[in-house]
Amino acid sequence: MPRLLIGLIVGLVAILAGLALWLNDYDAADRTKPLEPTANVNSAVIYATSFPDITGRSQSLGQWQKKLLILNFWATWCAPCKEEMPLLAELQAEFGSKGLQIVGIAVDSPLNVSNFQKTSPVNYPLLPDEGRAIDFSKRLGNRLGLLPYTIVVAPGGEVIFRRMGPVTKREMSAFIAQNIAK
Amino acid sequence: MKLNTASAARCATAMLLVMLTSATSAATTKPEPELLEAEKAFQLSGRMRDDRTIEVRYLVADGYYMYRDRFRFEINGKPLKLTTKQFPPGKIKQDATFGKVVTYRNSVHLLLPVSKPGKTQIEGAAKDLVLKITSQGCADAGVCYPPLHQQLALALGSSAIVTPGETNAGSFSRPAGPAGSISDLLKRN
Repeated sequence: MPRLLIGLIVGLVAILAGLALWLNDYDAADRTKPLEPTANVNSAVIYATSFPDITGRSQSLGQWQKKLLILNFWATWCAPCKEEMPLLAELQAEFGSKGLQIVGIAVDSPLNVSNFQKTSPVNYPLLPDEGRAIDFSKRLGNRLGLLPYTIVVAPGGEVIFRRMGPVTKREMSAFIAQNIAK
Repeated sequence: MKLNTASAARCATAMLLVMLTSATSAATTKPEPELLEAEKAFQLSGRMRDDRTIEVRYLVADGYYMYRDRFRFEINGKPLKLTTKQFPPGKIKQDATFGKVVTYRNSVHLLLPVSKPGKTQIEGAAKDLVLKITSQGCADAGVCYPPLHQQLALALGSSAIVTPGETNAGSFSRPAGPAGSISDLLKRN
């Protein structure tokens, strides 16, 4: 009898420890709240939006509507943004062939982004639009227009993740792995 | 009191449910860090210190900082460039991407010359001044604000404190009261 009780308690502790680890791992998800009412953007709007690349050629977000699309808003003057870009490049390398597409939308000038690309190249498109990028991010729930700001759009256009502030590789890897096959 | 197997199991299950519920609830209700709007994180005010100098003050909220090298000034449409010595010392921040940068916390106090040395008045004898300032800062939470463009409307002869959107033009009769200086304003805050 006591052995059974001890077993139950040990099991309970093990389950709680696992739960604590899971919650800790997904701490970021605490901030991955549903979009605020101001984020009145739908898939049609996202996919109909275009930004110029560093050569000035217009790039429609619609070209990636069958991908798990990560939109990362950043700027060359934003230190936390630049710090997280290598990990985004790692994610692109790891999951790109499985259907992930990361796009960096820069609140910056084409010249600054072009210079950045020369010194710190990344393996995903960088689309600079100093004038429109912040407004677009605000429509996606970035109320204060802060950077970095990241959203994940599922194939078809549903926004399934948003983050104000840097992401971590651990959380994003898990999130992407969980959603990329869906 | 002896516990039988069934009651022990029930007890453990109940405990597990309660703990699971409270843990999940705590996770989903954990608030997102509250961040201030840029104008509140970096509160700008200014005044004419004399006919040749504008005094500018930023109150920087706790947990926020501003970059020295991101300040840009324009007086009546003409760019004004300050030398490093005209900025307060600030705090050196070792930034992973930008290297050593000078940042300001708590407050920034700047004196902007509005006329060239040897001249007592602003070129063009303008009585009204429009000071445009671009600034940029970040929060310790790991986010940065886009460049903040603000302007102060000032008038020669008036030392009243103004904030963006206000003007001291024609405010000679405005009661200075306790707000007669930026220091007083700071004391009140």
